[in-house]
Amino acid sequence: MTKNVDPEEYLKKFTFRPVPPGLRDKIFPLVKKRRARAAFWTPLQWKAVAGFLILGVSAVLIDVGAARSQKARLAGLLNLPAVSVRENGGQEELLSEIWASRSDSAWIEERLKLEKKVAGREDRRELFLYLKEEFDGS
Amino acid sequence: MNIQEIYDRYGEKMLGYLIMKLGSRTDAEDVLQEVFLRLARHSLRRRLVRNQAAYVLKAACNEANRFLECRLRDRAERAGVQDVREAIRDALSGPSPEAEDLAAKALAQIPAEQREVIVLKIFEGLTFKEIGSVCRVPLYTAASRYRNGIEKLRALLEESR
Repeated sequence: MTKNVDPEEYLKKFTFRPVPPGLRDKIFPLVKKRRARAAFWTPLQWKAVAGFLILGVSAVLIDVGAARSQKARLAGLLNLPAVSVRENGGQEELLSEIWASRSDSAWIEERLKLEKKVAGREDRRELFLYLKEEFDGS
Repeated sequence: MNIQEIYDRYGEKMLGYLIMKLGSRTDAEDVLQEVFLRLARHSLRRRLVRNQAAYVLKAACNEANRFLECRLRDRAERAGVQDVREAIRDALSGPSPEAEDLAAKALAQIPAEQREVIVLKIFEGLTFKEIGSVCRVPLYTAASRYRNGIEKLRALLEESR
């Protein structure tokens, strides 16, 4: 070696030795094993969750479909106008539409009065039972 | 690029760098395994990086630092100069066994952070900016470490002539 040696030039003559052949087989199976162990969910658990999600979504879709077909069937049977589902507060409007379309509105009116009477009677009966319990308790 | 391809392309450089940084082949192999585990976990980040070589070397540097911190916490002894020399001698391939021995002897005697910068600059071909990013130091610190390391190497090589 000469006196004024240039370390950069000197070191450029060197390279790293190749990786030993067995190292690859040592590293990758271990990485795979540790990845599998540290996984948040195992592949089987992922499949189960996906299956439950699909079942849930299909149940909701079937329910919505069935409700729609039943509503259409009921409307057909009662000869009601095809009206869409209303938001809260739209019931009165819906009732007036039905009211106007019915020829037997007088019959319905009577029926409603009767329902009201029954409801009133039920209220009175509940009040009576409540007072009786209070009285018996004291 | 998947981790197998990264291993094929950069495995040799990564192992060499880790041996130089840790001064032990066994530790370097253990750390290399941890590096590939981390690279496998961060598959999306790995695909988004532009400078793949700097990224994998940075991952290796981070993992080696974690390993050294654990060593420090466990109060385990760091490899002595003789062990480092043996490890470097084992990792380097040069024009002759005498030259390999001389280079290993000189590299083992300079501080680890200077050796790391010299390895990244000469063996890995990184720029000072990239070295700064890998070692998490400012560009000028990387450059001064390199300069100081080279000066020490020059003195050591001339001395052993």
